[in-house]
Amino acid sequence: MSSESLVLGTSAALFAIGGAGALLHRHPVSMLMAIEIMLNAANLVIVLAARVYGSADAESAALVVLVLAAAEAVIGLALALALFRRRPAPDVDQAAELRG
Amino acid sequence: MDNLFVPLLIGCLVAIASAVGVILARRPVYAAAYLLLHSLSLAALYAILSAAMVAIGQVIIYSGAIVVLFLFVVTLLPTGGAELRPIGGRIAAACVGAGAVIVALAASLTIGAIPLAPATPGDMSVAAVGHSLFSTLLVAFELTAPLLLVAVVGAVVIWRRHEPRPRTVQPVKVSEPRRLVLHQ
Amino acid sequence: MMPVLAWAWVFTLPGLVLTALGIPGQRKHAGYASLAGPVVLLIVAVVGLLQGGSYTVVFPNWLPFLPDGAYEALADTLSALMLTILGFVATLVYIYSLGYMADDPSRRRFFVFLDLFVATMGLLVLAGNLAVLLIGWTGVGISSFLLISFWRDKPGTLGAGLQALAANAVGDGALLLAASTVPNGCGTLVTLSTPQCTTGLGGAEFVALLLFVAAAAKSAQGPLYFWLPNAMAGPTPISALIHAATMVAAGVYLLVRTYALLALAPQVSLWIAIVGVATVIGASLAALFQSNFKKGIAFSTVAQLGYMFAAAGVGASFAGLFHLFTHASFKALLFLAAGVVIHGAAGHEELSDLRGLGRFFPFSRWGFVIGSFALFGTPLVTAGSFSKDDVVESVIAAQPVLGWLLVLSVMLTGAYIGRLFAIVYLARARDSHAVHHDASAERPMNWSLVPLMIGSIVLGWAGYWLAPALAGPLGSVQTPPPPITPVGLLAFGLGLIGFVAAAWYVLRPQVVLPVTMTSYRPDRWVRSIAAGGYVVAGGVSRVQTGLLAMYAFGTLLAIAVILLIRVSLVR
Repeated sequence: MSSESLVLGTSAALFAIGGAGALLHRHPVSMLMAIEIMLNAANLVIVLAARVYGSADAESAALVVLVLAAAEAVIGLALALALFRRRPAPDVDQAAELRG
Repeated sequence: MDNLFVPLLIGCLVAIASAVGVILARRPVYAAAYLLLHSLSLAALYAILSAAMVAIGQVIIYSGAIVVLFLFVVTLLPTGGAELRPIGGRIAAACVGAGAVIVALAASLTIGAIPLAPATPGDMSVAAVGHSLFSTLLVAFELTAPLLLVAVVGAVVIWRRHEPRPRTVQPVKVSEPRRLVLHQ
Repeated sequence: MMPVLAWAWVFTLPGLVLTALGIPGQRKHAGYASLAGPVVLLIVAVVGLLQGGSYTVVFPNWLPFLPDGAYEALADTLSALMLTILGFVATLVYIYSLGYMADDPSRRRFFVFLDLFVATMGLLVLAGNLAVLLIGWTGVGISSFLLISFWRDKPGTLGAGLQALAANAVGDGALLLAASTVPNGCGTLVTLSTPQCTTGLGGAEFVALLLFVAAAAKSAQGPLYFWLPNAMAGPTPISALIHAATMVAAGVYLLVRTYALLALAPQVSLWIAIVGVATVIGASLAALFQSNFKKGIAFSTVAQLGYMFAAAGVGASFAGLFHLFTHASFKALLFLAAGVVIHGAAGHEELSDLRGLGRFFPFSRWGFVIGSFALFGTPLVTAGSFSKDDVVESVIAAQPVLGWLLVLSVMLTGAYIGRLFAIVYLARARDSHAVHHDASAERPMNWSLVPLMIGSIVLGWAGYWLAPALAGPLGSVQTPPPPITPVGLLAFGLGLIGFVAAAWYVLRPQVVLPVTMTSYRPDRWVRSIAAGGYVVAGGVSRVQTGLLAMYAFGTLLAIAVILLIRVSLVR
């Protein structure tokens, strides 16, 4: 197996692990952490592409994705805090107001 | 790039193991700690792949700010012990979902030829990154500034909607928010 | 004049800024700063139309993510004609609104939105490629929403505005898809039909279909008609300007501008004609049973647009355009005349409230008479007959069945407009004190009707001059038929019979008939279809559990499925 396939396989595995975590957890912050893993998996592929094609543009794109991850984490955590502030045990299943 | 195989293998194994730790940890605080390890291992991977700027960014921005933010929020949303256990349906859905994604991604990887990296990488130094940020990716780079601004403002707005109203002597009469009425 | 005309869409923007900033200061003078815009537009457009020629403004690569992302504005005789219509009706509507909105507290906002509409409509008409057309298209949709839901405190106006946005969204989506899928550099409206541009995805038929969907959404044809009658919730000057003369004509304009592409797509063209004729018949029948004065006229607009679509579908693009031209003046006349009566009756629009009140407004009554006779095509005297004869004869020549259906439906036209006229203007008023006259408000309203009355009478003769003038943008143009033709006389006769019959039915000296059918029990099969629909909807809504995990699961599965489909396609 070449190094490139190794990194690609790792990224795929990380994406799947993150997806499983997003489905498993009921605590909102744990769910958001699993989503962050998925984001990092995608970023890993971008950095690998930068290395393979020797392009600094792709590396800068990975940097922009990092900033995006920061913004997303901020909003996600603000939403989680706003929704679950006063509940004793935060459970994402209780935020089912879109039902119907 | 094959002389990098062993370091990459170590880095990948640590990344996968810490990711599994994140999703299997019973307490959110432990999960956050595993997330910190995960992001640091990714920074190591980026450094091995000659992306110095992104590696430093990962350490400073991701591990240094985002994971710390997660830790703070975890302390603000205490569970009073372990997290609620996932019900059986969720475990099944997680396995099926993750399995489907893995299978699909593996299948996609077989159809394209994965190009091999050159032995010595192209110019991926910090200077090159800066050059491309200000020329090719200028619009994206400039747009990240309002993106972060919107994120900060949005977080404040979302938070203030749920702030408890200050108690005055007389309760202030709050008017009914305007409802969207579709008469036909 | 063409280089100036190519930038004509900015003419109302200074007025917009001035009015929005509150200049002039007094509220009752609000909007006076905006009056100059449409007047200048009209003058420039008429001069441009008379001079002829063509001029293009191009800024390449302005939207790099589209296949053809240049800013391209095209000013030729076709755009000059459309801008003439826009300027003419807009000027009169502005003057009319000075009276109609005299005591409205949000008068300033009204004129700002009007300026926005005229600017975006001008941009739409001057667009040289799909990218700019899309911007004008969405702009008029937004202005239409803002103006339909103008009265925020009236119930139902927001819903009507949202319905207009929904129909608009369908059209915008189709147009966006067209702008994104044309081959590179092929977004220019006039070169859409060149061979290199029709070999893209789906070929000429697919692009023509997308343009048809966009035009049908904007012009309320076929199943997308629903928003136009409900758009009458907005003020009457808006109904006259946007939903009679200009915005709904944008769909027809698009089909006429891309006539060469439609010529390469015969199946889609046939469907355009069929949908047009079906809409004529359906809307005419619906207009016959309306209980709201403005909605009756609105359905009439839908029907007349169907005539234009039928003409565009059979390739008679000048006929459709000519009918657009004359329709603008007599339909705006009908709406503004109706508005005078509605304003005098303190905003009541139901026919049961307006019965007989029209006889107290002489200008309005004459305007409605002239408008009605133009609507069902009175030869020689009114402009409507010239254009309607052109449309009907072209359709008969290409698709005889459709053409004769159009001739028959003129009887329905006469019937519904005769019914409206008789109820409002001829019947005996129940309470003559139900109207209040406000002389200072009515003066601008009444006098703005006069140019429209003149236009509805004489503009038909302009067709003989317009036909060669538009030969450039429209390819080969057949001259319109002479003023009196056998088919035209037959259509006029049918319309007159319908008019008189409806008036007689309304004015029968018997018990006053309710104008709506109040007791209507649907048949059992209708009820069972509805019950089946409820069951299906209930089942589908069970997918909405509100659980975040289920939605995430669905997303992951969808990603996997899409990847697997792609893998199987590549193999």
